[in-house]
Amino acid sequence: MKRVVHLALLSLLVLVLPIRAEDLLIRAAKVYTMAGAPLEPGAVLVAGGKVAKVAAKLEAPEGAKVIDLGSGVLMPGLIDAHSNAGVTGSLAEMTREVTPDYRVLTAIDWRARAFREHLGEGTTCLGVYPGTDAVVAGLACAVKTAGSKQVVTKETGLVITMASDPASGNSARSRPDSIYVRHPTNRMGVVWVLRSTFDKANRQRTPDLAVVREALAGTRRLYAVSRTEHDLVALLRIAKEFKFAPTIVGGQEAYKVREQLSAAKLSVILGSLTTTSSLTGPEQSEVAWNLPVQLHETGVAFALSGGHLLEQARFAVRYGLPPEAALTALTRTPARLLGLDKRVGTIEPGRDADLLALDGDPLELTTSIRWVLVDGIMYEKGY
Amino acid sequence: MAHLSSAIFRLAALTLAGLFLASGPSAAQEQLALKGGKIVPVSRPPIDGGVILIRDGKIEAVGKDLAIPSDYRVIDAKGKVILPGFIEAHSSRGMDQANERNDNVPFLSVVDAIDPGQEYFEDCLRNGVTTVAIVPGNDTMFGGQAAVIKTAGGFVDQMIVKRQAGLKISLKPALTRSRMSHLVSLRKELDAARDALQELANKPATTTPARSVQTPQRDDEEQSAEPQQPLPATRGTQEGATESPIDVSIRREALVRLLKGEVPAFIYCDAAMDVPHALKLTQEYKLKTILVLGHECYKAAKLVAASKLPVILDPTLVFWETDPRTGEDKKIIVPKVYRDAGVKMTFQVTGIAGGTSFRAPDLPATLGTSYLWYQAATAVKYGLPAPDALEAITLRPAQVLGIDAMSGSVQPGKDADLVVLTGDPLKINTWVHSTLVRGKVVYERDKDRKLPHLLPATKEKVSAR
Repeated sequence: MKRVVHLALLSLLVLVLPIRAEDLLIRAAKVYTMAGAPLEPGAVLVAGGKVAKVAAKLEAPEGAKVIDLGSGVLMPGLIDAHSNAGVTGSLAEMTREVTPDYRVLTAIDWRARAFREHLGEGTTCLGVYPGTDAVVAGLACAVKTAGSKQVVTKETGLVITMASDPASGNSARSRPDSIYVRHPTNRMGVVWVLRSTFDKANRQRTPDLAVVREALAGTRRLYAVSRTEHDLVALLRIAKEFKFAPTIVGGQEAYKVREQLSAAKLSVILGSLTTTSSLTGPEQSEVAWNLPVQLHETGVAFALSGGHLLEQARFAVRYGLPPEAALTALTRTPARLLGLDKRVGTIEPGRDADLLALDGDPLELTTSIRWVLVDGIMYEKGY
Repeated sequence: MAHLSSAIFRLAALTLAGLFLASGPSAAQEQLALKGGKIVPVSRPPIDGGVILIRDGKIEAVGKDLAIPSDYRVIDAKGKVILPGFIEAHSSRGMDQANERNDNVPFLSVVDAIDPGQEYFEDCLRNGVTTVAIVPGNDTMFGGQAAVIKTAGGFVDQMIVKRQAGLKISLKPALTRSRMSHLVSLRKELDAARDALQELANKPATTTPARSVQTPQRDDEEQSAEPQQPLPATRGTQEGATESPIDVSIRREALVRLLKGEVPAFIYCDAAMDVPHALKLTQEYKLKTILVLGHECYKAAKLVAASKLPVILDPTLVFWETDPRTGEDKKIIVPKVYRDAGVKMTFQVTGIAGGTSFRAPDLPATLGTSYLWYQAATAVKYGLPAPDALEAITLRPAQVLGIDAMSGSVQPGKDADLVVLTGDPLKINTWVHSTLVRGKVVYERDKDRKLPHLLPATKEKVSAR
């Protein structure tokens, strides 16, 4: 019954919202296409929710609405490659450590405020993940922050946790048969669960481990949440042993193993650098505001994630990251790490019309957002 | 043996006293000239390639083509931008604990709790903040006396600018209390103080108000030689029966000073509904009020504007709100709301003090809200003109705190509290190059040995060298 009501509400929304995107010609003083040098000035033609043309100068075709940003700047909508936006209830299964075929998509509340918060910060696409309490938590997905068709990919990849989270809070109880008794209770256990799962997946052809097999074979992405140096080292060791190439999520101490990461050609979705109180992040890892520049200089590809993307990029630049690298870490790299580089992350013909219009230099603190375009539909400032 | 140890003790004490004197502000100070930078005096338009002469810790002259006397050390500020040191008008950091457990302690003073060794003061200098008002936290009804201090000095007595800068009053009731009973006890105390004041006025002029039990006096302040006489405790307080008359009297004394208008009141409003109460209290008891507004108070912006009282905004300048009925979300941009209402505001920053977080846990934090310059930049992002935003972290807080005769702008006669920036203010790549307090260079980025350690990723590089 509830679902019927929801459906009715949804269809109502669909009727109310402008579902058909207008054709738009947007002119700006500067267009960061993120596929080559920025155009100064630049123009972008949007038709049917997609980017149709990009050039220094374009004439408006008949029926297209012209938007002149004046001294403003246009860039691809931002992509936050790691988020728990909209996931309702507990983020992970609490009674089992290995749930590879759980899909986080099924737990998303599409009306959650988080989507509008992200949209308001210029983010148009999100990687949504299950939590980190299980060792093999399930499948992440990718969604847009607005629109009537928000799902981009139902499954972006398998999420594993090579950190202390699955072990924290677990302890041996007096009643071993209770559902509250979980292992692992320590890091050794986390590593053991991972290894035995991979091993089982390789040896047994059970359907519930098919997802794990695909991730190990490289036909599916594998995201590994790992933050501190010793966890990253353990992850690298397991990855070498089972011959898989994880995308690291978190990576707060990635600079300590940057040479190894660079040699193994692994990419990092950096956990949020936003902290106000102290210099420690999750698991007491050191939060290094110049971490991005360290990775950049070693040639490790990384995306910034965890909300407040523009602010994070601004501070990364303040602490030494070149501006182009900062913008890449908000657009092209996260698109690639979500497996969506043919759809989003750059302004090129055929890409989704996910655009961000700003008053000026995106990396200045005083620059504000004018509007955001998602699949060709405009969301005004303040949203 | 006892003799010997006492002799050693005396010697140690003497040595300490000597050290004190040597490091005191009165020690012969070099004269400085900052030359060639862009000066942003805040009180008037910027001067390109100007000179600032500093003598005895004060700004002697500001201008273009000033002759620099030969005994002045010249600091080349070419390519730099010089502003008055930033001022934070409300901070509960730098103390061992922000809030007293007893919530009726108007006689306390933050001076006794300020720890100049805390990293907070280092961070202030690193970010160009030269003056702060240290104010008791927001959780106490009468939290005690605030003090305005410079952020450099080493010992609290050398940092103090204004020992009695205002009394902190919070309209936020303690956890288990209702707003009704909170306001009743607040008024009860103020009424009792008013009665005491009345009684004093009716007495013959021979008795001087006692001023003993509170904080230590400044040397230049006149100390009453007359015997201390506790103030009459006319009406009982809530716990009156168990309290000694002295407790009651020292409390009353602090409030009497408030009612006489000798000190302002920092009134913290947690919610918009507290604002009208703050205004009513201000009117009834003729308080000199400085409004310290929680983030939700934006709903009372018009009321605040009409009151024309000075305003210090909550560190949370942007947040989201959902209407519980309609489910509608709104992004609240606090500085924009106040600006549209015509309120002149000042800012404060987030921070942890004595374990009390000043940021509501459900509100998003960004990297920058712990910096005063970031707060100003945020206001500019949402439409405040940049000169206004700079004024809001320099001259305006100086006016709010009543120290604008000595701080807040680059003007002859004022204290030489200056921040030298590597570029234009509020830009992402602009850093504090150096900070001056009372004409002394107290921070230099080149010599900031701790800076690399605040950036762990460079730590290895540094040690590898």
